[in-house]
Amino acid sequence: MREHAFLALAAATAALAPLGAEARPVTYPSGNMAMAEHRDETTVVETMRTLTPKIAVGWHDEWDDESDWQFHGPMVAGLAKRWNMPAAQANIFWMAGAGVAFDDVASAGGEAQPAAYAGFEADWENRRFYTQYQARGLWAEDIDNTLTQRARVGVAPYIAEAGGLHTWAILQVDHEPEDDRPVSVTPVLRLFSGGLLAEAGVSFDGDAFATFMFYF
Amino acid sequence: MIRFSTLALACAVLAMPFGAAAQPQAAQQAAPAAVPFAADAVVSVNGLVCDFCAQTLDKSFKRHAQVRAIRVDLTAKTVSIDFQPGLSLDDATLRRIITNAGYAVTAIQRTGGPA
Repeated sequence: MREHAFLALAAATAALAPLGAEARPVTYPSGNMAMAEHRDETTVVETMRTLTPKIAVGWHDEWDDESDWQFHGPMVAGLAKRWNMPAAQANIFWMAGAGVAFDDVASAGGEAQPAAYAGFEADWENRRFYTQYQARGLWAEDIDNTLTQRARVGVAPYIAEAGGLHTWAILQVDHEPEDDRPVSVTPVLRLFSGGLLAEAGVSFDGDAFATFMFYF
Repeated sequence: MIRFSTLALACAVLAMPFGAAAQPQAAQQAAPAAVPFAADAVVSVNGLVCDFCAQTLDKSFKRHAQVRAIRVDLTAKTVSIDFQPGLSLDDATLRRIITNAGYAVTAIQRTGGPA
């Protein structure tokens, strides 16, 4: 079912939206964002609405098939700091969410427990290069307590103008200490233009990665 | 819950005003072909690095009835604004729109029309 939800969102965004954008939790006042990400055995779906130039609120769903738990709840994200330079931009975002986690969903039907997470994201980019770092801590009582990290570096093979198709080749490193393979390296291809971002890749361990993000 | 999330996302996507899904290209083409784009104001902006920047500015400006169309030049780092005939936005408003969208204004140049 979770896969169906991911594919439905991906199909909807791909079919209805014109291609592009950057992966930012806070956009512009009244701007909306819908995102679905799948990596290995984890799927995340988020919807966000930006209320002010620095604050966005939304809903976060997450399914972890490997550990057999789910999380569902509201979230908030903020732009802590932005540097606008003549040929580059850098940002620091924070995000947090609280809700309900369900354990042993497949075997026992799910035992609900309160859960929360918090994290931050820092990025720097110009039109040729892109870097990003994310860290997130998740607390779900005795279901899962973990700190995950992600780092990215990317390069654009060509410089696209506004309205064109923007392409990025990205190398992504994920660190999940409690995973069977704590460190995973994934080459990712990103395409974006206008309001739709799509990413796809396969890690060196063979795990699939895909992201669809739509700004509207 | 999964179904609810999927449904909510689907509704959100379907509820979008696609006709006004102001892409930069769409904004540039919004004006009738017989009325060519005329840059009444050119704003130099820091932080313009991606297509998302262009889309953000386009949507922010299109909320103002005084604006007929805009063009974002990522190479020149400028936003050109074509106002409706006889209308305009003052410098403070231009600066506020771009600042609220997340970017920094470095200069505003008027090229014609009422200031």
